[in-house]
Amino acid sequence: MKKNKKTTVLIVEDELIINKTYAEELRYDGFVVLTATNGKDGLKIALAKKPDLILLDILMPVMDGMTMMDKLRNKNTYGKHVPIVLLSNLSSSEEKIMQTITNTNNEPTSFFVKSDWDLDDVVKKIKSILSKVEL
Amino acid sequence: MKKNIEQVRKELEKKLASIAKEKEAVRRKLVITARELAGTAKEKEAVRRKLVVTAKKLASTAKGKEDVRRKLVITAKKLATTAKELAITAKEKEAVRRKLVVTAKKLAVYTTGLEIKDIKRTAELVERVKELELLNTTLDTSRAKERAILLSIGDGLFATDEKGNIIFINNKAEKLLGRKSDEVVGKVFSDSILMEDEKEIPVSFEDRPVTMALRTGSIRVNTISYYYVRKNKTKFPVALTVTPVILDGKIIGAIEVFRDVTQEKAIDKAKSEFISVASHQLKTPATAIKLLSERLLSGKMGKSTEKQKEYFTDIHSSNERMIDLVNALLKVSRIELGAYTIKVQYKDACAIVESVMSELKYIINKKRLKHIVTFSKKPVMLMLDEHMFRIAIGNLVTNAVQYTKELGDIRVDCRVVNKGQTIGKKLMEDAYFVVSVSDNGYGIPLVAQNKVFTKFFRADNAREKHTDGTGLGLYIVKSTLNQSGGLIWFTSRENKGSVFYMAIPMSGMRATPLKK
Repeated sequence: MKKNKKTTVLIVEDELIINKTYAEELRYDGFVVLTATNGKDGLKIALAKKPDLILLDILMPVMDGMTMMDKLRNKNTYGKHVPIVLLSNLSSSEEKIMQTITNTNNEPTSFFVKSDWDLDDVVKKIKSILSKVEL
Repeated sequence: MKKNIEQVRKELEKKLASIAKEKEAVRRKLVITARELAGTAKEKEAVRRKLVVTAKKLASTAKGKEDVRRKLVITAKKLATTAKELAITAKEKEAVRRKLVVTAKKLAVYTTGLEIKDIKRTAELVERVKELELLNTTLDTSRAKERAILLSIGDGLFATDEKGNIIFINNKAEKLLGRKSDEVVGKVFSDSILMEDEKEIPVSFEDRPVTMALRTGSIRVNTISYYYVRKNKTKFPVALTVTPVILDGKIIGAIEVFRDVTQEKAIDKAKSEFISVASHQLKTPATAIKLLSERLLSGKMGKSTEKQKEYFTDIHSSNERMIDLVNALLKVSRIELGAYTIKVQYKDACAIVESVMSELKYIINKKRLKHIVTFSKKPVMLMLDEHMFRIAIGNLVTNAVQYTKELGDIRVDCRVVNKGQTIGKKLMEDAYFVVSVSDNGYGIPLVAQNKVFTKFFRADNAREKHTDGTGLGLYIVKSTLNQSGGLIWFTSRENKGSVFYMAIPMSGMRATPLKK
């Protein structure tokens, strides 16, 4: 818990209940949590606050997660390297996106978790990614 | 004297001269005579020669005459013999004639008897001929009617001989394919009626349903995956049934009935899209419930009473079932929309089976089932979609666990089955890696066996024993396996158990081509 005390996670998710639940769980685990409900706001906060990891929903209004990720990756060094965990509902359009990414770009800093994963598993994944980044 | 002598000499000389003249005259006469005599001799010789020739001719004529005479004698003898023979023949003929007369008489008697019968028979025959003529006319009319019926059938239809040459095509087929009968009749069906699969790859003669029907003698039904190419190169999805034509146990041809299923496909697509959208919309609130109930159950929100814990658990497990169902529905809609992708990698199939079995150990042990897993000794390296393969094996093993009583037996066997070998009553047309999962559980009732792989189907005994379950598992396994070139089938007896077989071609799973 102490180890994660200063670690900041940005959650970008348009579903308020899901956003809130992840936020509460991560805060409970000692993370500093920032939230946004669309890609446009998420991008602003990310660039301003430079969180250590971004939990990013794919399908969102105003700006979707993939567009936000693209803009961030091409913005600056921080944007290029920050770990992003994409929350996938695994709709057919998302699966296509996943397929495109895994086939064309082996970005070591982009990950997928499925939205129906257990909360514990999502947190474990986040922690595991952060521990590797720190190493 | 002297004068006298001279005179005498002169006179003598005169006389001598005159004698010489006379001699000369005589000599000349003699020469003439000699010549005349010589001529006569010549003539005589000629006459003699002629006489000789004539004598010879006479002699030869005499010989010829003798020959002729001899021949005449021989001929006479022969004639005598022939005459004798003729006499005998005449006698014989007479005998035969007499016999014939007798026979004729007898026949006359018969004929009289038969005539009456004949008249009757002839009348009957005339009647029969009339009937046959009528039947023929009726048959012609009937044939024309049948042809008209075939021509007018609302679905496309064509028939081939045993080699696959088109022998008939109806009006609807002409219209659907944009080809005239005379363009296709007499030609091999696959050359004149072009077919493509879902990936727009032409289907070869060997893989066409007509060829399969001609080869196997079994009916081929295909409802989804083929397209016919019209003459103008446009395409339409086709549903077809090919029936082999069998005469005296021999396949003499095939009939294909087909229809354009563009509309059905569009409706199906709309339906799948609706399921996809609806499931997706359902997933978000289900996820919210999941996350919240997990937080409640974790105790991080403060202590709850035992009853509250029980209810949170129920909410959570019911929600998990709903998520499973939504996920299954999403998968089904993806399969049906053609959006399910198969990604292959070179993997050891046996190792994957082993790993799935160890993951499922918990549920197997919970039911205290005896389980045996047998593998081939060497790794079996195959191009396969591990995710899909794991789901398929997991599904078969979970089913075996769920539909077997406690302390029952489960057996998982992995083996390579070569082309031409039989496994699970199925003759393998190629080499396959086959995983079989057998149990001694409830089995599948005979009446339900043909519906096992249909969407949302659950057999009555399965519903009783295990209330959960979406009825989508085996449908998904079969659909994805088929898409990858794999096979699934089973043998089962109610209350004895089931064996499910899953086969992956040794040549590997067929990956979904990447679309840009």
